[in-house]
Amino acid sequence: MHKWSKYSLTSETIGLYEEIYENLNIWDCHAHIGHDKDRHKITAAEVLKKMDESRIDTAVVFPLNNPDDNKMFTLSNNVVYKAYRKYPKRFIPFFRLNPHFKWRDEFKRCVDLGFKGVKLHPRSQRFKLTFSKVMKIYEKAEKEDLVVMLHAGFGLQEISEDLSLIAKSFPNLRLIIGHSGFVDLDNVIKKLTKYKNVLFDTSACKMFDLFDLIKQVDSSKIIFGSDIPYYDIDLALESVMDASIMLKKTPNQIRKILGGNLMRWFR
Amino acid sequence: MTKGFTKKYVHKLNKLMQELLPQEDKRRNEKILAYIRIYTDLIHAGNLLRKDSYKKSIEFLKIVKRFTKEFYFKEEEAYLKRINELASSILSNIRCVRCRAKDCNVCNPAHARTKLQLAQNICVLRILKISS
Repeated sequence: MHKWSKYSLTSETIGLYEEIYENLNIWDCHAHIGHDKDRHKITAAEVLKKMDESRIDTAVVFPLNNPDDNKMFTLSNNVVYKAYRKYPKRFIPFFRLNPHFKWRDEFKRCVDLGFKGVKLHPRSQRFKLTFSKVMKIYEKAEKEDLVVMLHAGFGLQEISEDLSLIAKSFPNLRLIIGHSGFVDLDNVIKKLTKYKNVLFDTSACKMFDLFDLIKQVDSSKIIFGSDIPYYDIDLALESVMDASIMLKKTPNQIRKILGGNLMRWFR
Repeated sequence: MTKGFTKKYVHKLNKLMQELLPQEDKRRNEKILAYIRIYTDLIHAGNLLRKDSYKKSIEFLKIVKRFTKEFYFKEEEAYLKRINELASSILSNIRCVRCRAKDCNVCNPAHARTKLQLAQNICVLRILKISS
């Protein structure tokens, strides 16, 4: 077993890993804290433990879909805020909002607390990506220079047109496409790579989609994500590293994907 | 029927490979076949993860669990264990999965599809690495 993974690695891969890991900062753009309607839960301490085990330096954290919360995610956002206060160098806090309700007060409260971005989940909160009230949230986030992380995975289908409209309408909005929009990957890649403020999150992508993504999208636009507690950080890392290695990406390009690109946005 | 069908053909393919391939490649191929077998069942489980067919999906998950225990390769232990854990985790939360399942292939009841995807990725990753 190798120190970087609880899984078995070949000696050939270890050599390449050694080179990649030199001066490497790993930033995870997709981690959850709290508990969800579907009974999944994870505390800040547990996330941190998993990060330490997998040598993750920093993670973007946001709430799960807490059933006990009010409509505005206030309780869940507070859980994330407390985690951030306790570990300010390890967590980058994002808050969640429900665009169907009066979100402006919660938005302002979270900005005042120092949150760096907002996570929006069209499947859980049942809205269309270009729903008029969500467009207002994008507008506000652009104005406040907050990053928007959009869920663009399971539960959605054809999303490239909507994502493209968002990127076009808000050219200064920093947008992370959650799960890289794997449900409509080819079109998302075709339509979104041209926008300078759009990053593609690798979390929970199929291996084959990961290959397509890394092959077709410039490595400066791809960021590593794990999606814990639903996914496994070690395996997510191994998938991204191995796919990149197989596609002949240089150690420097792989280091950007694993952390450098996201660090650019938050440092 | 699908269970018997898959098993029969994987067994045939395995036998053919055993006859045709040199000794040193056999173990490697056994591992690849094991992962193909598990991957196939995971795909079936995913395709059936709908409101009207979730019971069949459960059957495939049980097969996955059984195979991950039956195949023993020391160097693959951690991966097979993880696949087993993922299948178990979906099965242990099956009431929640059942309540949230819809009649479509993009629904992700209680994140069961995400977990299946992770298990499938492990298989693909291992097949790629073992064969490279």
